[in-house]
Amino acid sequence: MKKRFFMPDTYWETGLLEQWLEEQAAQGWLPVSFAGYSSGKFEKAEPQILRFRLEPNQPESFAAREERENAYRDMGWRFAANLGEYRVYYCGDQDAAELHTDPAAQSWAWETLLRKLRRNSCISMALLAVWTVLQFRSIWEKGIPVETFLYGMWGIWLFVLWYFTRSLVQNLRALRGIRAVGRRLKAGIPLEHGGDLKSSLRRRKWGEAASWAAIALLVLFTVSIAGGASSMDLEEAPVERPWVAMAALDPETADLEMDWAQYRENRNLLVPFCCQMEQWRWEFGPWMRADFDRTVLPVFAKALYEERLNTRIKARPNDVVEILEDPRFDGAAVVTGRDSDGGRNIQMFVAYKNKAVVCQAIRMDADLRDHLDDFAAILAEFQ
Amino acid sequence: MAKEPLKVLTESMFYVLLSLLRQERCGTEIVQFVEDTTAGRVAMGPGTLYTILAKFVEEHLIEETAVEGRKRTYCITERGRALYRQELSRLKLCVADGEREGTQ
Repeated sequence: MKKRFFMPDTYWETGLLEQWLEEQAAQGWLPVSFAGYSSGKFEKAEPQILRFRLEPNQPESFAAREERENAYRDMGWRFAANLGEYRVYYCGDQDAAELHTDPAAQSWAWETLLRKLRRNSCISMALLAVWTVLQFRSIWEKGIPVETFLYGMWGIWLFVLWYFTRSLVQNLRALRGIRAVGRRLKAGIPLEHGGDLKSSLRRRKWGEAASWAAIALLVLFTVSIAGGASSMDLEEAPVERPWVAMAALDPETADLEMDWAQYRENRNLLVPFCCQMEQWRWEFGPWMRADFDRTVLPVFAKALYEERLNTRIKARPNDVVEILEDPRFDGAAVVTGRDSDGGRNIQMFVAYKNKAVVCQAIRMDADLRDHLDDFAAILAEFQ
Repeated sequence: MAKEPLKVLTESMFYVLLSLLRQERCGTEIVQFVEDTTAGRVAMGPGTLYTILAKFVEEHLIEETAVEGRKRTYCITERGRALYRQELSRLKLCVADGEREGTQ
């Protein structure tokens, strides 16, 4: 019968790993193989008192290794399995000499491994930093960090920050532990055998549980974001629409058949309802787009309003910006300009009230400032 | 205080060089020699033995002379003899200092 057990979470504390293996053997479980430094596969055997010792894997020829293994066997020590960068040996003869009896010589065996572990830890942290930065690249790539955050990236970023913090703490602990082992060996002090096994195993189990929980939440989150989105033709959109219809803005243009008229809506934890509408026609070029967002907090609505306004100003720096002082809105602005080729009116109205934000942009002969009552009603109704 | 590598030898290292002073030996013969010579006082674990042998070969203090199947035989080099003599002198000075101070 075979079974898998979690290992202690400190791979540099060989004394702890040895103690764990000895306790497993005392309960009748002998190691078969190990999956890195996370868990080991064991097979059922008679409970027995064994000594386990871990030795750094040495770069040596096959013949040299064979000779070494034979000598170890002659002196009572048998090879069990590879555990990461270690070779695991065990001995059932309590009178047999220890595997290592000279700490100074033992430090030679550990030199290369300690350097490698330190280097791997540093490389891990560097790659972790690069990976973390790349996860936030949408902030500068898209240029709309507030919208990116609110529309779902907050979940991803939360996971990234949690993973980064956890990995950084683990790597720093490992580096500190590896340095402590090196200093101990250099001082000629034998490596400790044993340690706080219970705490280490408990940390491992909770760590694994937390990791799986985080991954499950991330998957659920991603599925919910994808599942909360829907898109359809504009004519199929809900009757109650949080924008001023084209028919109200410019009835003549509204009579034209549009080449594109789509409605999309989405929901997530921070923005329980958001929708976008876009319609346009090639021939005469009228175009209209509307965005409506109901956030969970007024501060989010304000941030989204400011981002939409600033993005527009940056995209069209020559347009005229008018900040409206209207008590029906917590903030409102109109940005007006002209189309570069046709001289047609291009205008954007953006406003927010409490937790809701409305933003409507047009390219047609109409003035959104004539419909402030409609926008105020939309914000009041769709809170 | 940490010993500098191969400037001051531990007992295990000293006895490995001593075991090869008069004749070539393989690993198990070295262990037996140390056991017999020290009457079991100096324990030589297999890990310690092979780590010392590998290091001494790397530092040209000993060299492999024969490989018969899985058995490798080692002999000491002139550099190894010089290090052995240096360590012996150091130990003699320690003993002399100890005896002088101890009898006062």
